[in-house]
Amino acid sequence: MLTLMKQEYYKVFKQNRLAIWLVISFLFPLIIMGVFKSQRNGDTILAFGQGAIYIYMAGIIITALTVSQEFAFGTIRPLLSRRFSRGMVFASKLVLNFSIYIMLIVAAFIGTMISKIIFVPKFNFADKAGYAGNGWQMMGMQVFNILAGMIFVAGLVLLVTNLVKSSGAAIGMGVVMTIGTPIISSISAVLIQSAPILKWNPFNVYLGMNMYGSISSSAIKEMIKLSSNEVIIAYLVYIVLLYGIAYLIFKKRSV
Amino acid sequence: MALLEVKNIDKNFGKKKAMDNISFTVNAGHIVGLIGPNGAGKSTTMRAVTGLMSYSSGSINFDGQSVTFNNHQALDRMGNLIEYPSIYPNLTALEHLKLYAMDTKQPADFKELMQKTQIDGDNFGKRKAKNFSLGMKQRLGIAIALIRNPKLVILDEPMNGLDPQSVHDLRGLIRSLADEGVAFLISSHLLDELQKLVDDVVIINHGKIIETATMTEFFSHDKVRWTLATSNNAAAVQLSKSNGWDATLDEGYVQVSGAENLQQVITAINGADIQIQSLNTVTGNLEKSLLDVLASDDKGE
Repeated sequence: MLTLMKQEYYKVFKQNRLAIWLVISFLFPLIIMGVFKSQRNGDTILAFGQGAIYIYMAGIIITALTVSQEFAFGTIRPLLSRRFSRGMVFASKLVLNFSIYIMLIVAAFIGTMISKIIFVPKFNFADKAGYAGNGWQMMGMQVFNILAGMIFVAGLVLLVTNLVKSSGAAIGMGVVMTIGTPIISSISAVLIQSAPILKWNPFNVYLGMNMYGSISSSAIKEMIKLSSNEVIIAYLVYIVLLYGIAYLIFKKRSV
Repeated sequence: MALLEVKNIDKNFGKKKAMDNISFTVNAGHIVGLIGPNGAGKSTTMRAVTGLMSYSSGSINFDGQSVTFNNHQALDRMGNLIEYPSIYPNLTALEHLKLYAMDTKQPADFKELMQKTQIDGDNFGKRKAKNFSLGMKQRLGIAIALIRNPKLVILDEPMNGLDPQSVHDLRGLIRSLADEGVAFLISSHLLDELQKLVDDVVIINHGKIIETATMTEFFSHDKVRWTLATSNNAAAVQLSKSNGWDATLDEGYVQVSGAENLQQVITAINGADIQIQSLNTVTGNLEKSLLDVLASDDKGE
């Protein structure tokens, strides 16, 4: 597994130029708060200088590329004709992707902290900053939301990538899930109207999870007809299903 | 004991039998040609051997261990280049070798391998693979197949995109590695090249092995024949047939086979006052032998 991980990092740094993605993640909050004076406030700091959207996009693109490129370049054959099992290869991709999300967040966090010192020096993380608590707690909740959202969306992206072997379709799906909240809300609302049981649809669960920690449980229930606990359980079930199906497709595919 | 033993493997694609009771062996130090027409099942067989494709029954053993779709432990000492080289466009040749060398504790020496496969260290070694020509990619693919010091190398159309000099050099490289004990399973449509290289042949048609033989045995299909230009070709053909030999007129030349020896042919033709203007002896042609075997198979003989 260690060998596979070393190879995956070697590829992602050399082939996909991960260093550039990380530098942009670091610079994003600095640029946003440096260029736009209106963004020099506590809310922007807690939102990683609005860098969450970038972290999402970068994570989705890299997730899609790490699998689809292997098919596109034909490198899937040497990858799978070695002593490693397909399960290990798949697991190495997952660990790689998760570690990249962490790296992107850490880079954005460092950029945000420098931005705070330069542009919003009076902001105090110990002050109450929102529904979840003080600045640190809100930032922690933001990290949790980003990671939880990315793991869900990345599962979907991985599934689509394995199905169609194309990064384009997978990235498109990821983009819609990331920035197309109004579209997702509309789809979800139509589904729930047609049958109440469809409150369990993945889009609705994903929306509920996105709101988790930002607003109260009763407000979430009001909007998506699911309690916080139901959202978390359904979310976990969907994640297991997405990754499980993606793995089964990957495992069975002849190349 | 054979290094690679493929025994009775079957694979269906829907109703089509892609591999029908395939069996053959490859011994250490031997170069085996897997030959057959397009769609015969060569790549499918190679994929099954490299663990890339499942098979419904039978067994594949390499170096004493079983190879299946889910069991790849034995593949550590097997290299392959199947269909086209697998290249990361943003990596240099050297970076590719470093990447694949991480798999094994005893990789081949990079410098030596780059020299052997003519990946010049000062130029191609530092250039990104996206700028490589097809031939260069092919050479890198072969280098990657050799990076783990394999006991068996599987090469599907390895001469694709190579210029005549590179083909000649690749032949030399394969032969020298075989002399060191490395086994090769090679498929190629360039039969003239394959003929110069392989020790044994495995002929596959419609997913079935129709013959396994050494090259010498295989050439026994192709009878010795003589190609003549004469002052009266039609009469020479007629005369040959009257002697009980096979004779045809092909593009202005008389093709004769079935006589005991050349002297018999010359004596008969000269005796009929027909002048022989040119004469060639043709024997041991892989393409001709293959076509004969495939034709017999298609006729159901």
